[in-house]
Amino acid sequence: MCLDATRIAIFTHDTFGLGHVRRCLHITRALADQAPHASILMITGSPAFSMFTDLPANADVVKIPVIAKTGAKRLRPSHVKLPLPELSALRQRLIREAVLGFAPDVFLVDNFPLGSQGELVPILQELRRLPTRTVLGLRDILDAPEAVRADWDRQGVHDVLDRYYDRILVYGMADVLDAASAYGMTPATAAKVRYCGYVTDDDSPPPDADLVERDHGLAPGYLLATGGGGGDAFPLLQAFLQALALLPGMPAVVVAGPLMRASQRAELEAMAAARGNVTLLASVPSLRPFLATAGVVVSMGGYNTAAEIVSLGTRAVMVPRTWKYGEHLKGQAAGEEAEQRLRAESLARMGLADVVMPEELGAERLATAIRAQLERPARSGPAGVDLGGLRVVSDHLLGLANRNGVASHAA
Amino acid sequence: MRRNLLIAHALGASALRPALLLLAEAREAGAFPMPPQVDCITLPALRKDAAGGCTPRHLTLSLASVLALRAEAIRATLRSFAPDLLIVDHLPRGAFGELQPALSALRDRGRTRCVLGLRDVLEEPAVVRREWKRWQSAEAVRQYFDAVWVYGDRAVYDLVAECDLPAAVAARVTYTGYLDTRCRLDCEPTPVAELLQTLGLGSRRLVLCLVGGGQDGAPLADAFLRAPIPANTLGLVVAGPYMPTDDRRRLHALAAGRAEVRVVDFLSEPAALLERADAVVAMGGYNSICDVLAFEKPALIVPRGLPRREQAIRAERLAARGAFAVLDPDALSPAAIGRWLAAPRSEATAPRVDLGGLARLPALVRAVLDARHDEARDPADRSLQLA
Repeated sequence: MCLDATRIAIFTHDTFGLGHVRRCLHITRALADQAPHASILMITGSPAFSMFTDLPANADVVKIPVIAKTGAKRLRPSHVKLPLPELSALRQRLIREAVLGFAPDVFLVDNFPLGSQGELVPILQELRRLPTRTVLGLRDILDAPEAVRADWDRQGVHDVLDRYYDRILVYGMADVLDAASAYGMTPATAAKVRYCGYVTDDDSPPPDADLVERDHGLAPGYLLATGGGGGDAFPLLQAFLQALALLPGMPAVVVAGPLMRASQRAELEAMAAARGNVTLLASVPSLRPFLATAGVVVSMGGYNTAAEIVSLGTRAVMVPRTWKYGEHLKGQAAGEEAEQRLRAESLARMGLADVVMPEELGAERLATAIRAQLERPARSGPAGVDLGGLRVVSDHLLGLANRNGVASHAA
Repeated sequence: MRRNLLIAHALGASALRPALLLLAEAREAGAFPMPPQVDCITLPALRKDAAGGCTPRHLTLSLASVLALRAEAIRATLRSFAPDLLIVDHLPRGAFGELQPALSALRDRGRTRCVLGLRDVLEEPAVVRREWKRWQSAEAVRQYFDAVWVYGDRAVYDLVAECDLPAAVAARVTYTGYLDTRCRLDCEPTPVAELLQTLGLGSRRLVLCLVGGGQDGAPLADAFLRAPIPANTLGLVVAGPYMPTDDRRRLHALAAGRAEVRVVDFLSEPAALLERADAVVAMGGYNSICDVLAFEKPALIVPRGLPRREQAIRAERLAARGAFAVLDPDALSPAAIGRWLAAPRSEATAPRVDLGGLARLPALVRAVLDARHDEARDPADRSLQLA
C-alpha cells in the first residue's frame, strides 16, 4: 500500500435525476482504472445513493443529507425532517470535514460551482491555502445561455470561478456550445476552460448484446422507451404505450426508472399488461445492452442517454424535458429549461435523432416519428461527435494531481 | 445495517415522529432503501484484518487519517444535528474510540440521551469480556450511556449473566425482544413478484438459501446448490452484496446446470420472498434468524464456523427452544442439506421467543427521554443512530 498515493475528491450535488451521479461514477471508474493506487473520495448528497454500491475498490463515499428541489428556486430537506438552514449547516460542516480531512490533490466539483446555496464557497476559500487544485466539471449544455448568465450574475459565480477554480472541464464540445462565450465568462476564467468531448461509458467493455435476448427473450429490433431516472418520465412512457397500438406487431421494452413514483409505475404496468408483447422493467443496471439491440429508442434528452445513444448509433426519437427539474412533482407551473431541447436539436441537426417536443406529444405523433426512424439505416456511426471525453477528463485530473505532487514536494 | 434500518423504520412510524439520521459506512447504507423520513450520512469504511487490526477498506490512506476524518465528521454531525437521542450500535466508543470526542462533547452539553444497542449474542463470553476490557467499554457505558438495549430475549440468552457484565452495565440493560421483520412487508414495493416470474417459480414450492452479507456464505450456498432438491420445488440462493466475485461466479455456474436451483446476487428487501418461501436454509446471523423467527418458516441453520462462536451460540440456544434445526458447519454437505429438505415436517409450532422488540422501542425511547432532568420539550424529537 502506498500512503502517498494521489488523492482525488469528487463532489456531486444533485437534487433530481441520475445524470450527474452517473457521469461522476464514470469518471471515478476511469480514474481508478488509470491510477489503481490513487484514492478517490466521492462526496454526495444524491438521493440516488444506491448507485454508489458498485464503486471501484479504491473509492469510497461520504454521503451527506439530501436536499431536494421543490420549485423553481425552492429547496427542502428531502428526507430528514429538519429546518433547511440547520440541514444546510450540517451539510457544509460535513463537506468541510471530509474535504479538509482527506486533503485531496485535486478537488473536482460537478456542475454546480457553489454547491447548494453557496455551501462550497468557504471551503473553496480554505483550499486556496492548501496545495489542492480545484476543478469544475460542466455538462455540455447547462441551460439557455441567457438563463445561465442571469443565474451566474445573480449568484456571483463569475467571481468564484475567477478566484477559486484552477481549471474548468467542459464535458462537451465547443462546436455544440461554446461555454466560455455563451455564459459570458471573464477572460481569466475563459483561459481555464478545456473542452473534453462527451463523457460516456465508452471505455467499458462493449455491451453484452445477447443479454436482452437471453434475459427477456427479445430479438434485436424491438422498440425501447426510457425516461432516465423516471422521476418525470410518466407522460412520455404513457404516450409511448399508447403509440404501440398504432405499431402492431412491434415488441417493446419500457424502462420506468428507479425514481418513478410507485403509483405511476403501477399504472404503466397495467397498461403494458393490457397491451401484451411489452416488457416493463422498473430499472436496469445498464441501458447499454438495450440501446445496442433496440430498433428505435424513445427517450428524453438527458446527457448520458444522449451520449450513449450517439455512441451506439441507436436510432432515436427524443422528447426533451423543457421544464425545470422536479417541479412537475408539485403540480405547479414549471419554469422552463432549455438544456435538453438544445442538445436534442444539435443531434437532430447532425441527423442522429428526431425531436418531438413535449407539447406535441401524443400517440400518433410519436408513432409517426418512430416509423420515420425505422426507415433510417440502423447503427450509423457517431459522425462528428467527440465521445472520448472520459479519458480526456481523467488525464486532465491526474495531470493536475501529479503536477500538484511535484510542486508540493518541491515546496 | 439492516437491524438499524428496521429500528429507524419502527421509530419513524411511531407516534414520536422523530427526525431521523443514520450514520453508517457507505456501501452498506447505499444497498438498502431508506425508510421515509430517514436520511443517512456515510463515512469511509474500515476493514478488520486477519491479525485483529484494522485498515481503511477502500482508501489508500493511513488508518490514522481515515479515523481522524471519521471522528471529525461524526463530531460535526452531532454538533449540528444536536439529537435528543443517540443510539450507538455495538461498540460504545465506536471503532478505535472514534466516538470518544463526540460522546464527551454531548455529555457536556447535556441535551442528548445515549443508548447502546447490542445484538442478542455478541461472541463467546471470554471474548466479550476481553474486548470490553481492551476498549474499556463498561467504563464508557457508565460514563456516557443512559440505557443499553439488547435486541434479544433474556429467556433465550441472558447476555448480562453469560458475559458477567459489571453491575453498572447490568443496571442499564433492557431486553427488548427480537425484531419482528414482517413490518418490512409494507416498505417500498420490491421487485420480488417480477423476480419470481423471471425465475419461473409458478406453483412450485420455494426453498430459500440465505447467507447474510455473503462474505463467507459460499460454502453453504455451494452445498445447497449441489443438494438433491425435492420434486416440484425451486431452491433459490440469495448471494448477498459482499460475496467475493469469484465465489459468486462459481455459484452461478453451478446453478446453470440445474433447472431446480437458481442464484440471485442481492435483494435489498427479501421480505416478500420470505413470505412466499416454504422453507429456509440459512447461516446464523442476527438478521437471518429474525427473518426465520418472524416469518415462522421451517429452517435449517448452519452457523458460521470457528473461530467465531456468535452464530453457533445463537443457533444452539434457539434450536433448544424448538425454533429450527441446526447443522454443524463441519457436517455441512449436499447430502446433509438434502436429508433435511426431504424429511417430512409436521406443521411448525411457533416457538416461544419474544419478538416484540420493534413494538416496544417507541416506549423505550419515551422512557429514556422522560428521564431527562431538564425541562420538557417538544415531543417531535430528533434521533440519530450509529450503525
